[in-house]
Amino acid sequence: MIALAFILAFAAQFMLVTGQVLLKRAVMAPHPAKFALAIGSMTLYFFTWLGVARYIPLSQLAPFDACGPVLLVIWVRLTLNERLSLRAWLGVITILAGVTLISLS
Amino acid sequence: VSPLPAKASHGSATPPRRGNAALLALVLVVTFVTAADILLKLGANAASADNSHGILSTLGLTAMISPYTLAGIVFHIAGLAAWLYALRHLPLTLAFCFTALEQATIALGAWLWLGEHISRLRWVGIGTIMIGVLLLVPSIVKSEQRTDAPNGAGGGDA
Repeated sequence: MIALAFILAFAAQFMLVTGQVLLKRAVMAPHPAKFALAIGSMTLYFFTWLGVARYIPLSQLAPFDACGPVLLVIWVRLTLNERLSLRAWLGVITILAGVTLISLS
Repeated sequence: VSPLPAKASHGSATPPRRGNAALLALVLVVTFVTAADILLKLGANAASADNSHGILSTLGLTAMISPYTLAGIVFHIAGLAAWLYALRHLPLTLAFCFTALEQATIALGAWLWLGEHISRLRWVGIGTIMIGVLLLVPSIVKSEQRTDAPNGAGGGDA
């Protein structure tokens, strides 16, 4: 049951990240269908996360947010055309490292 | 709502305070989401104390009955409103990585209010995230200035 909860926690992060990419597209070029897709994806995330929160202490669950930024940085590189400064990339990599450290703790 | 211009016209300046609006929005996102997650955990705990085994219980939705859960949802909605503003003005990578700060603030909140333990490694992770977020701040301020519509708000020098 606990293992299933962890798998669901990862799945929830994937839905969250996909929702964010869809939401970014929606706010940049608004269309009701885009918002619906984005909100739908994040709604799935929300209820999955809420269910999982019953089985895992919050401080153990929060590290699953670790997958979020990693997935998102990869997802955005593949789907959106964003340019960041060197310092910003350094910040992103530092944050991913911090997030990974937390997930290992 | 019209989409953002792909580029700001040259020579237009943003009023000084505008550059911090997206940053302020991100800080609000982190604050609201931290409050929301702690409230949701309190709601979920209240649900665990309830021993019923109906379909709501199976789906993990007994938490919906708790006022903590409802308050958590309200904070998440407030967070979403601030997030939409930030998202419109910033690259997604910058904005989302900034919100990794939630992992530091949620752990700190769980430590303070829920009595959850924070290991030494987690403290290091929290510190690392904070350093990373500080590295993003200049880009966040600059990004908004670059993508902001000029809208004739006075003509300072760029």
